[in-house]
Amino acid sequence: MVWFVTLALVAGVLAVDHRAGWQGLVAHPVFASVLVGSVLGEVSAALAVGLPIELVYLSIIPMRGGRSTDQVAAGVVGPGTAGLLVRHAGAADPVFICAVGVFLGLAAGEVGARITAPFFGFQDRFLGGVEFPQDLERSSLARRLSLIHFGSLVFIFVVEGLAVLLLAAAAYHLGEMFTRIADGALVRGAAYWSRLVLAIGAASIVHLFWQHRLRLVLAACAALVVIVSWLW
Amino acid sequence: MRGVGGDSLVALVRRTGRFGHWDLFLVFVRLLFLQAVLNRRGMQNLGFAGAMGPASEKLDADGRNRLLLRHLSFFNCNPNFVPLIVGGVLRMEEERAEGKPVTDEDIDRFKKALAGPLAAMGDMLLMGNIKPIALTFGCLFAIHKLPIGLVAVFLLYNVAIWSWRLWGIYFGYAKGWGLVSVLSGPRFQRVLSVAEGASAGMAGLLLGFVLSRVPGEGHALAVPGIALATITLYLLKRDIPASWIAIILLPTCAFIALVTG
Repeated sequence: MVWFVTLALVAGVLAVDHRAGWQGLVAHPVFASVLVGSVLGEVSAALAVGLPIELVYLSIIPMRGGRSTDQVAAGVVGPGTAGLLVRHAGAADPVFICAVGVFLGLAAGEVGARITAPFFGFQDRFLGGVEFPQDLERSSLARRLSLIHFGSLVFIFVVEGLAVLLLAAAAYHLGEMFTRIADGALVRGAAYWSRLVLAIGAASIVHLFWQHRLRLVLAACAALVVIVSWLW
Repeated sequence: MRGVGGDSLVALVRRTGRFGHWDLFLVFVRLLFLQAVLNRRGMQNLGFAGAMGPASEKLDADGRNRLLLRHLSFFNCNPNFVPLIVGGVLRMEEERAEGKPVTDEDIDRFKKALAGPLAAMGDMLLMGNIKPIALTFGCLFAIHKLPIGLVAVFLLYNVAIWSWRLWGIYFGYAKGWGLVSVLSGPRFQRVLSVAEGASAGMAGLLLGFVLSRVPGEGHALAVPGIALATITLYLLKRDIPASWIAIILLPTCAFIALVTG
C-alpha cells in the first residue's frame, strides 16, 4: 500500500507539471520511468518499460489542450508495476515482467484518461462559470484569483493521484496474476509482443514527420544510422 | 544571451521601468502555472489576469480593480509565448498609467494581434519540434540504458524553456507595442524551418537506431514488424491511436503463441 501511495504522490506532482503549465518533460513516460525507477530502486526495469510506452506515444503530441490518453498514468503505472513485480515476483522472467509493465502502462493510460475526464470536465465548467463582481476591491479580486489558481493545482494533484492510486493497485494485482499463471507459451507471446511494439514506435516516429520535405530528412538520417550500424 | 532584435538580456534587464526585477519575477512564476486554470470558455483568461496580480498593485493604486477585470476577457496562446505578451501588456499598462495615449482598446488589440500568431508559432516550434527533439534524445539515451543522459536532457530542456520564458517577459516589457513589428519579421520563419529540419533529423536517428536492431531479431520478427509498422502508419493517419493497436496486439500475440505452442 505504501508503494501505491508513493506512486500516487509522484503522479500528482507529474500531473501538475503536465497539465498546469511549464510542461518540463518529466511527465513523459521515458522521463517519468527514471523517476519512478529511482523511487522504487529499479531504474533499469522501469526504463525498459518507459521506452516502449514513449515510442508508442510519440505520435501523440497534445496540441491546443487535446488529450486522448493519460500519459502520466501510463508513465507511472507501467514502470511502477514492473519495478514492484521485479522486487516481489522473484524468479519470474524479466522480459515477461517488462512486457506486462508496458501493456498495463498503456492500458492505464487509456483507462486513466476516461476516469479523470469527468472530474476535469467539472473543473472546466467551474472555471468557465467564475464571475467577479465589478465593484470588488483590487486586493480581494487578486486574492480570489490566487485562490482559484491554487485550488486548481490541488484539484489536478488530487484527481490524478487518486486515479493512479486505483490504477497502480489494480495493475500490480493483475501483473502478479499474469506472472503466476504464465506458462511457456504465454511468456513467449508476451516477449514477442514486447519486441513488436518497437515497430509501432517506428510507425509513430514516421507519422510525426509525415510532411514531404521532413519525410526525406527523416528517411536520410534513418538510412545513415542503419548503414553505419550494419558496417560497424 | 542575445535575442530577436539584437537585445541582450542584460540590456533588457537594465531597461526596466516602474516594475522591478522582483515584480517581473513574480509574474514569471505565476505564468509557470498558467494552464492550471485553463477552461474552454475563457481559455487562459484567469491565468493571465492572475499573473497580472502583482503588477496591478502598482498600476491600480487607487485600490480599484479595473486592470484585473479588463484582463479577464478571452485569451489563448501557447504557454511558452505568453510571457512575451504579458511583458508587452505591462509596458502598455505602465504607459497608460503615466498618461500616454494608450487606450483599453489598444491593449486589447495588442493581445489579440499577438495571441493567435504566437499560439500557432509556439505550437509548431515547441510542441511540434523542440519537444520531439528532446523526447528523441531521451529515447536514444533510454535505448542505450543511460539514465544520466535522460537527466541531462531534462535539465537542458527545462533550463532552455525557463530562460526563454524569463527572457520573453523582459523582452516584451522592453518592446511594448513594438513587439508586433519584431515578431512579424521573417526571422521567426527561418528559426521554425531550421527547427523542423533538426527535429526530423533527430527522429530519423532514433528511427535508424530502432531499425538497426531488426537484423539481430531474425526474419521471425522483421517481416511481421514491417507489416505491423505499415498497418500502424495507415491507422495513425486515420486517427486511430498507436496505444490501442499495441494493447490489442498483446492478446493476439498470446493467442497465437498458445495455438502454435
